[in-house]
Amino acid sequence: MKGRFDFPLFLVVILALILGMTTLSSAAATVKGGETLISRQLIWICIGLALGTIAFIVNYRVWIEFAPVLYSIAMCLLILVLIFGSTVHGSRSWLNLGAFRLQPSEPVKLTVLLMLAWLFKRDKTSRLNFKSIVKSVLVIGIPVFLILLQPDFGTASTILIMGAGGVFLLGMRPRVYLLFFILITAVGFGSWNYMFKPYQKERVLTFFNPERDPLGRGYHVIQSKVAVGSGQLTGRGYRKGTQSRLKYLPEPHTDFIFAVYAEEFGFAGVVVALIILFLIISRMINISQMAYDKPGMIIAFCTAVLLFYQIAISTGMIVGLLPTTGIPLPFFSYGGSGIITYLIMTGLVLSVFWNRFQRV
Amino acid sequence: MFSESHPAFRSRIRFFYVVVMGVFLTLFFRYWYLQVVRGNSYFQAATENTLREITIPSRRGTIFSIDGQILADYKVAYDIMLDRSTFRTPRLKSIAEFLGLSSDELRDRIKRYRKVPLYKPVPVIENLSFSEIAPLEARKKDYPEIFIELAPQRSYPFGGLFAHTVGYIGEPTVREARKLTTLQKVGKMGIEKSYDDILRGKDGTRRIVVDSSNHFIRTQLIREPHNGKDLTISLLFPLQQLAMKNLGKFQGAVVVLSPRDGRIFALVSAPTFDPNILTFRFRRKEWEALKVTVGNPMLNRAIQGAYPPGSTFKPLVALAGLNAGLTSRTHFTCTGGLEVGGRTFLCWNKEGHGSLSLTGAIAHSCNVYFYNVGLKIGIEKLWPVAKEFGIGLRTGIDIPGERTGLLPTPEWKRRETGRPWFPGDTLNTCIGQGYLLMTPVQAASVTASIANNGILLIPHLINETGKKWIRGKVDLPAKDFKTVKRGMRMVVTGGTGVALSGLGLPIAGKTGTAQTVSGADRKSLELSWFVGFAPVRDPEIAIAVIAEKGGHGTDTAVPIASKIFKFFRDNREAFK
Repeated sequence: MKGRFDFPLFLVVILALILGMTTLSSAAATVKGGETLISRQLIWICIGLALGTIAFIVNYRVWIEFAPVLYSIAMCLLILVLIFGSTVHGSRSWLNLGAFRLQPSEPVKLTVLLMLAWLFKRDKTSRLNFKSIVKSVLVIGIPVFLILLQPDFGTASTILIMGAGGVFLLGMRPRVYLLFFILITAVGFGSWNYMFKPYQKERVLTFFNPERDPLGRGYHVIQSKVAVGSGQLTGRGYRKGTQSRLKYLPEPHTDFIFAVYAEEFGFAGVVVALIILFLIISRMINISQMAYDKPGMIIAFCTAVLLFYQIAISTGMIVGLLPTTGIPLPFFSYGGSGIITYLIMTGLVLSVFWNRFQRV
Repeated sequence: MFSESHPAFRSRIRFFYVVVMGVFLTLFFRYWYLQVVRGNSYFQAATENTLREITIPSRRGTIFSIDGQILADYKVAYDIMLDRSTFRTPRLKSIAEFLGLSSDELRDRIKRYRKVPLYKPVPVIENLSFSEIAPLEARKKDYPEIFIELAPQRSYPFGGLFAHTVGYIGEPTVREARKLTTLQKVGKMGIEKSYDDILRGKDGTRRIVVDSSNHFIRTQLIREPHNGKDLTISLLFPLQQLAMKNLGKFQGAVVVLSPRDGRIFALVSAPTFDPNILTFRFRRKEWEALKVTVGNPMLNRAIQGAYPPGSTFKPLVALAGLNAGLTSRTHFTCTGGLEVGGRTFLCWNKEGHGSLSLTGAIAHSCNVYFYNVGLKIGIEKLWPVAKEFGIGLRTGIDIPGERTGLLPTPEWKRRETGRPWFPGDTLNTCIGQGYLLMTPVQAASVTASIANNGILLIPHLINETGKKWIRGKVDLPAKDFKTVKRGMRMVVTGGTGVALSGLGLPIAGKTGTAQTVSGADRKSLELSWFVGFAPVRDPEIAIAVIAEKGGHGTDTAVPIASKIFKFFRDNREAFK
């Protein structure tokens, strides 16, 4: 049928990928082994586009049927990584698979998404009953718990937020919201006092006032703000950002990549990037409204929530709006497992659009 | 469509849509505020780079002599540092003028740090006194790229006296720099090099924030500095001074060490140089000049000068002879020369010594006697004994750069020259000539081993004793040592070293006069040697003295040795 492929979404994702690769090729130059980072990321993108195409061609409803299997495999990987994983930056989140390394927590996002869709594929209500809430909490809670053990605070929060987005969409009674609010406050209070590591507390605390400690914890935020600010309206030019060149920015190729972009392309560039990223999210929201069935709506909506959360944190962190938690920026940051996951999700959302008039 | 027939979902999706819009608007305004409203000041902050990493210098350990003199220390000095991340080339001329350098010179100095990350400030001028920095401090506002840092300067208060033993520090080479995290200097020679890991501290780091006019606002300690450890070395300051003074204008070396534990009391090489000028980064010219100075003062003759030992080698030949079946009563007759293979090998005494025993031959340094020993036992019985004493091997002294000398063997000669070993080669070796080469520290070490009946010690400057400093033992009977020592005692009581007999100290020794060819003109020069120890019974010091162009052993080396033994006689306590 004519016009069923959603070119607008496809186009903005491709644009985001181009902007991302451009920034990465500048940021990677200051990182050890930068050349290989760029060529590897290109390979990951190609793999991601291929897998995304497959995800798109195979009807998303077929994928949902496999959700329990995929979800179980993913949970096994998360347990394996806790036992055999290699440690990077203090968290045990990588599996060595001979030729390449896999970060299972990235594809886990995808399986949680499919699992939620699978759980409610026949659900006819517009609010979750108690049983459904327990099921959802388990589906979301298990991976979140396993990832917190690594410990990878950033990715765990991403899955939690995506799941919470799904639960919000499916709806609950007002008093259940209230119950959750009280529970979360209590858990938050408890873990703040008993579970959080001092460095995590520090991060949250300096979030409120980074400038009071410019040499310690607030150092990165101040440096990235200087980087962003010094870009001014038109930027310092591609590969000419002094803050990133002089290695004032930590992790310029992953968590702080948007600071490199903002420094080199200025406010004009930031507006372009923000518009592109906004269009990706708003288009996915539109598609969730247009979905033929509930699972399709869940897939499109949760993908939008996930990307939105990561984009908001990653671009907000470097300008001091949000705490520094180390969350990669989709389509920009270096990382194979991540980019492949986002592209498969995009493929699924495109499939939801493609099949929006179709009965099973 | 699903959500159209389910208004509850539709409104929830719309709610999320509003949240997304809100967040993106917030981001938009935040970036607009940072980049457009405050962009200029952030741009300033980035160009002026408000954060700097400063090195807190650690203190390098002080080096003391055993009698408490400070041989290497620090004096307060200041460096002028350049912050290259804010430095722009057009400013080069103005900064150079301000610092009193030529533009080319400053450019060269900056170029040296190509491999140092830009955010680390680097020194462009060093070793300024407080009064010299005052005018610079007053005008620092105009030169935000530069600032002054306290940088204690290594100083060697006695200049050349300890140059070859204590050594000096300097800029690390690329390889040495790998083990360092800051722009530290490392030991380049002597004790400073061999004990660098102990002496060198670990620099600390401090981050400071400065405002645009180069005033410092805030500071935070990142890493504490750790000072290096002090070292005491076994050199005796007055003895060292005495040896240097008496060596005087001669090129040569003096080594005084303990035959009991291997500690070195004096080690002098002349000519010497001032290590103070070598510690500077920007004094390459002086360094180049030093390298081409006549007499090569950088050469540590005591451990790097390989000389033919001449007659000082004879006690070893005597030991090899005794080991091969000769006795103290074996006599040979000297008629002033010996004909071997159609060539006449001369004794230094043309009239001849007549019939001599082994001890008498040592006392009078009779060449013919030792030619006969050589003919009797052959080179194959001689060189293994010499090797056991460490000829042709490093002594293992705890300062770097030691040479091995050379112990010739028939196999070595065939390999190196392609010609066979002749009997004449054996004869030359027996009187310490020919291919044989020894360093003064080897000569002192061999003498010590004879003095202590065959214990091989590792000569060392660090003031410690123990098993660590014993290399092994020469397996020869004690009575053989006794015989040879009697001969060496006779050298002093009635032989070639009789000048030492009047000191009231039982000294044993051996003089030597060696011929060698040196320099471009291939002119023959005479080396004046003396090796000895005292007291004969239970020796406490062993010495080796060599003076190039010093004439006979008795002319130069013996008088120097005499001064040293006299000092020993008068200051026995200091050698304990």
